[in-house]
Amino acid sequence: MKPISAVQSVVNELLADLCAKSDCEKIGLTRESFGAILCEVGSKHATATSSEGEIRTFLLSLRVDELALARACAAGSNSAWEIFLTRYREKLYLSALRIAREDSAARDLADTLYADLYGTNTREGERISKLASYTGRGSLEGWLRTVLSQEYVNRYRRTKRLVSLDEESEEGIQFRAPEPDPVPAADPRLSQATDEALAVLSGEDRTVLSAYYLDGRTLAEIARMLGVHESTISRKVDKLAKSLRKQIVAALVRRGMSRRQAEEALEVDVRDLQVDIRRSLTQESSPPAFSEKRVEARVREGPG
Amino acid sequence: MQNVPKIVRECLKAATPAAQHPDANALTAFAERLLPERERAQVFDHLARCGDCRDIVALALPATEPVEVAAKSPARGWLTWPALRWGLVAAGVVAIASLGIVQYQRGIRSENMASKTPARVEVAANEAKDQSSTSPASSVPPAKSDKFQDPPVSPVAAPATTFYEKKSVVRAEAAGASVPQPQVGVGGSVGRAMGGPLPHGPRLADQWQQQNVAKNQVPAAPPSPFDKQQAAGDLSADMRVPAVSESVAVEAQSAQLEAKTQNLDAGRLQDRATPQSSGEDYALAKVGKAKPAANAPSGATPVSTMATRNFSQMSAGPVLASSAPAPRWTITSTGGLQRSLDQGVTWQAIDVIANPESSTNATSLQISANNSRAKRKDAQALKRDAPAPLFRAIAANGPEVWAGGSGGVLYHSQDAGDHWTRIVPASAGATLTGDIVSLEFPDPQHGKVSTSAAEIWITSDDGQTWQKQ
Repeated sequence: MKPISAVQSVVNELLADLCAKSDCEKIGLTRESFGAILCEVGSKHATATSSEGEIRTFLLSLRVDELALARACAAGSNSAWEIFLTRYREKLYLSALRIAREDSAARDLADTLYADLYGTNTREGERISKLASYTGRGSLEGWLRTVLSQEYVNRYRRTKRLVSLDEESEEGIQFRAPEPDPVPAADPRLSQATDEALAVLSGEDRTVLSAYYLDGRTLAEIARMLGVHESTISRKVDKLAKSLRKQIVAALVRRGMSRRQAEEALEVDVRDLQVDIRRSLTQESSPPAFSEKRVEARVREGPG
Repeated sequence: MQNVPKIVRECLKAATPAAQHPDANALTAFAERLLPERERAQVFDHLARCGDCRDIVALALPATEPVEVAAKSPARGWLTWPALRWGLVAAGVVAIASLGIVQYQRGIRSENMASKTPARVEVAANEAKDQSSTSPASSVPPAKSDKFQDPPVSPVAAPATTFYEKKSVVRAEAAGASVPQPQVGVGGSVGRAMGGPLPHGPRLADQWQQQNVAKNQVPAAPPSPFDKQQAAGDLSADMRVPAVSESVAVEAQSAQLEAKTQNLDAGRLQDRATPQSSGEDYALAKVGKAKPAANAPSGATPVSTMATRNFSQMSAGPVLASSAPAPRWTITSTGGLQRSLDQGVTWQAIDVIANPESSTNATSLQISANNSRAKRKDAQALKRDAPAPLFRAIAANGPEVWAGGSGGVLYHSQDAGDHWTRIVPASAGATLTGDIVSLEFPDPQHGKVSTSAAEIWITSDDGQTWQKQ
């Protein structure tokens, strides 16, 4: 059976129950239109190998009341909008404030989202509401927070990178040397061994490592992201760091290094030295005789 | 925390994210742990490579609620060793003081009893005759139960009113040394009953002694004339009111801690008394208890009913008047009710379903410790069956608390949130069913409820009847 027809038959079977559960007719959605929405959501999720049982489980796991509310709002139902605003207006603003951490930015963020939710953009004469993309897989409140975060990351992070010339001159950035180009590692075996060790880890482990060591998130934040206890993350990070070191050393030994050489290669990263020397030298502006060419020459000679 | 080699960070940073980011639905379901294992692994794989999506998941986390932590602290604090230690010391002091006073008064009484009791009985009998001939309520037979007899403690053979005046003074001296304001002490006594610090020492001892005296004197003493004074129905601001309260309260003091409130100036409190369910219940419970035990003619029962009801109303007022500052209320993001009794320092979750309004049925209130376990089981069963209401608005006016939420859920508490009643506003066949958005109760009688369906319901009689606008 093709997925769409399978979804259709399951939706027809469950429609009466799901309609009653969602109270869709009270907020201006007919049973037929709600059935079409369920079909659309189910088809998006179902694959060619999905069984009817899986589709049924998926449809029953949806938050149909919030799905109906979001889609009724997208369709322009006044009563649905009243309920939506009553339930989520305050929460949306508080979430925006927590994300942006500043009142005016939070209001701006929330207003932008409201415009998207209402649908100020039109396609072929029809409003396109962002609420029409909600599928009921998670809570509507959680979805709104995610959409807010996406908007914040897309918009505010990018504008933050665009610093005005006045701000630059205040900070003295115009005098700073340009960022050095990344220099390839002296020994390619090190990066190969590291990639190999990381490739063995699961996605969850790599996410934890990235969140902790790259993003600088706290253990508590990572624990909340993953829905586990903080101590679990603490143990996991510790264990991963130790095992990674062991794996990389073993991989380097396999590639012909002695154990001592491998340990030293891990401790001393040549690129760090190059970058640090270059930066520290170029930041010094006073000695005119110390030309950039000489600096580069010294860098090339230096660590090797 | 163990550090990783710099090269690991470089390699993690260099990982290129997949072009297709998971959509908001998938990320929400991921954060709420609703994704099946296969999809969860896919999202993890993406998150490991995509810093933006990691940021989105981290930013979209719900705000933490420190309230939950704060709410747990009082329970832990109460059972700490210092509290228990001081409780033991206080209990020891109370016990020693009680014993000393009992022994002392027993000695005095035994001296006085031998010489004064016959004379007193004679005078009292004459008094009773006079009362029966002049009082309009003389047809009410006197209560023969020993529970209504007051012990002849006074060494002076005096008329009844004098006797009680003196006794009240004596009792006031005994208890008032540490409780300068007896009216306020009524409210405090119930709340502090478990702690039982020093102020209750003399009073408890006095009650104990009084009860002992009553038991000792029962065989010898004739029916007390004071029952007839009670039967006269003069229960207003008369000086005999304290006597009624005392004699009735004595009957149950062995079982009821609340009986500690008996030695207060009831006449002064009566004006301030307000009806309260707990007080009424208490009174009715006592009446129900007195009936089988009193072994008295039926005419005596209404007297005791009036007396105890009067007593309970008198004690109910100060409970409200003297309690700590008004509790604060809040609604959590998940729609739960929370109350703070210490100006917002700690908050405790209030479950309106687990604390239904007590019934005013006398028989149900006779149930005491034996059946409390069964009641708790019932409450738990009820809690399991009914879904927790989702509150959106709350209005508190002193002990009067109204809380409303989704699906027309409206609860009312008259005792600052200890007991709740579900209210379903209905008018002319219409019932409030929409989500309650706001509640306004400027005074205990008048209130306004607004719903998400733009309906406004108004009551002007404390929620008894409603009008839809």
